[in-house]
Amino acid sequence: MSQEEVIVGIDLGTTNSLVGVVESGFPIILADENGKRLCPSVVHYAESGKITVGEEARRQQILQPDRTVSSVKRLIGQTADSLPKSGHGDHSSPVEADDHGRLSLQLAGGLTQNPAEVSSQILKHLKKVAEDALETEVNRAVITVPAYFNNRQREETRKAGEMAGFTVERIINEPTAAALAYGLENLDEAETVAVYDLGGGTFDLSVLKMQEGLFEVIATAGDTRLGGDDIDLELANFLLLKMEISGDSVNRANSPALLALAREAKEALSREESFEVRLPFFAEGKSYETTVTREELDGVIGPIIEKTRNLCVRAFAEAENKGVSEIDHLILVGGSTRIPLVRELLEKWFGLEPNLSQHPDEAIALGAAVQAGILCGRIRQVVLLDVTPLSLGIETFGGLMNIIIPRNSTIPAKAGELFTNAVANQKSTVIRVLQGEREMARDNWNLGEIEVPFQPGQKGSARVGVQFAIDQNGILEVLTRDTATGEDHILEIRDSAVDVEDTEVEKMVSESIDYAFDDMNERIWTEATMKSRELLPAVETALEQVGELLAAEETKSISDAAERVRQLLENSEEKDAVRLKKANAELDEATQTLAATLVDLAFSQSLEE
Amino acid sequence: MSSSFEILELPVRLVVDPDSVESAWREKAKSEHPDAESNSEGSAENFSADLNRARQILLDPALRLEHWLQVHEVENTRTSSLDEDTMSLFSLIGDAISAADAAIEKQKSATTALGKAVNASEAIKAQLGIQKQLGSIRTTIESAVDSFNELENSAAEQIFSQAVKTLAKLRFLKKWEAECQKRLLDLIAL
Repeated sequence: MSQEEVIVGIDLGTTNSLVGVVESGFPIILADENGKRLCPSVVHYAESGKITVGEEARRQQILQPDRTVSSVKRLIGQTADSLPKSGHGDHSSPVEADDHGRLSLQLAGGLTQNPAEVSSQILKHLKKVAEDALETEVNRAVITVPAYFNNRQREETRKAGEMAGFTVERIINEPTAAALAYGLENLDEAETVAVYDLGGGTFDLSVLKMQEGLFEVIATAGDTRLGGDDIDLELANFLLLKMEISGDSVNRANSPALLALAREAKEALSREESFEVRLPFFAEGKSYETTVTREELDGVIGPIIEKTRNLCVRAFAEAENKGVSEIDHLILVGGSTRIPLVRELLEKWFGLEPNLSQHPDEAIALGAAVQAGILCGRIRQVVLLDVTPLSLGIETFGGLMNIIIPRNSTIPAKAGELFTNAVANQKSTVIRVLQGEREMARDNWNLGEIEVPFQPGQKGSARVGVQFAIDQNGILEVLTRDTATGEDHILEIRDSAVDVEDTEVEKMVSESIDYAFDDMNERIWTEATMKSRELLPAVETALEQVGELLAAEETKSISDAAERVRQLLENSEEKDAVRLKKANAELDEATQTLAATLVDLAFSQSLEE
Repeated sequence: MSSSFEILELPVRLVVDPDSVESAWREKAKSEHPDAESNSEGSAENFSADLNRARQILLDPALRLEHWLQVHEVENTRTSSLDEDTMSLFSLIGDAISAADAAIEKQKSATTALGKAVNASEAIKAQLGIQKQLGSIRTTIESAVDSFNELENSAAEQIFSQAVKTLAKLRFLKKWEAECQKRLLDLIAL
């Protein structure tokens, strides 16, 4: 194998990126000139036009937030109408959309960059790291993406690779890559594993069967907007509240420092029980400090981790449907799995001791290197069969989604559909292509439109077969076959126009970091009152049904806690958000036995029937 | 175009052993995969997709029956009426699904442990209802699959009318199974 044919494996992460290669049959991560293997996925655009990537760019983010981009992966392949409705401070720069909803980041000095361009800078940097380390030109790469990435997100990632000067040999899924890294060490075992991948910005769970070098993905589930970034933001909000800083005083200039502090606290609390946070000269030049404990961190991030549970349950249930009932190992990867609460909850939920044999930051890049090694012949006897994470379909009459290739189908996959003319001499029909699991077309990802051409003729006479094919990269290609000549033509998938004047879309697009820290007191008050309004009637119903099964003092403590909530809620002029939240928590605590008794009763009643 | 049976080198039989489909697929997937060493050219991607599709067809009773009819060049009309038993099953399924949707809606809006507990009884009942219907659907599918042997015997005499009817029935059952399965997943993951 000559050196010029080398293929590198790249983990293009939300927070950090890495590049690896197979040497003498084993995957390794390549280090930069400073010996660093982890490259922060941050890009800085200096006034001079100089672009820096990595650690140096991360330092610049504190100094020049309006010239720096981080977590761009959360924007890649997104359109104005696919961004979440509420602001989550994903990106450090304001975003604008064109009339197709395509996004671009607005930097200082009128500089505009789209997400793929920013990503390509990170990839260019990694290309150089690899070339310096290997002392040869590197032109081919395997790049990883979250398993739950849709077609558009995959295509944009591939485009970023091409802009960086790579031939992108394969796009592979991150949890699958991690399983390859794990499986290469355990080639002789026949086993079923689940990979739990909680990274900086995304979450995936994949179930795989491995035997005799065949790696077959059975089911996958995920969320492309769930990860360490969300934890940092929640913790930052908690710190503001604890140090009594108004959300209004957070702006684009000082939010990077706040988020950096939250990240530091999160990382420290993975090792220690408490951490001193200091925020010098923050709002109006004042300095703040407080102590945050691991228990407080757990309270803040619990609901975020809880979200991964449902996705796991789904993937396990789907795997079971496909004949997989037993998981031998639950492998953890991704930086956020260092958090002790994640490990504790997983063990509690699934009764499986988490397998920590893989390096949380490096496993995915190592797996990408393994896949690169397979493609250039450096690794033999290993074959990977992945699945498509989302159902592919088309919009049919009445705005419904008609599934053509169901999710979790092994890729490459293809399926055909026959189209006919609805009126005489119709020239063509336009089909909207969708990805997702929702019944209504509008609730799914809109991949764009294809135009199917017809031969002139009477109604119903034209018959055109259209083939939808998902390739090894999970990327869609649409072909039509001319029945006369038997020739295939690729149909272009065009972006559909979106109405960016729409106020809802406008709101999403103008979303910036400021938005995420909007008046905290107001947000907590709203959330707390909703919770109170749910709890108070629930207490009444529950006491009515099973009150007599509880001890008298228990009933009294519940009634007292409920009364405190009711009083705070009625006294709504003051809007004492913190006290209401605390009273809710106490009522929650006081009603634990009551809730458990109710659930037990429901179960035993269902058994009797 | 080759039939799914030909692709996996299996006999054209309506009665198949899933394990033999799986192992035939696995063997071929390994040797014919675009990344496999015996296949250094990327041109095998199309065959790989055909292979995956063939496995999917042969493992799914409705798809298999449809494909088998195609191989026998039987015109398959999509307008076959359903028998009474299947129709009455359908109305039971409809009830179970609407009960499940109501329970899912309620549980999704509850954010506290007590709020969820108050709805628990309804959610459990809905789940049991769906499981019961899923059970009936699967039993009905199984008995349809059990009749495949007879369908094959009739085919020897070029009689396919029962096969066409069975296909229509299996298509409905499969759709309902997917609907119930979706609700069950939602109810489990509440």
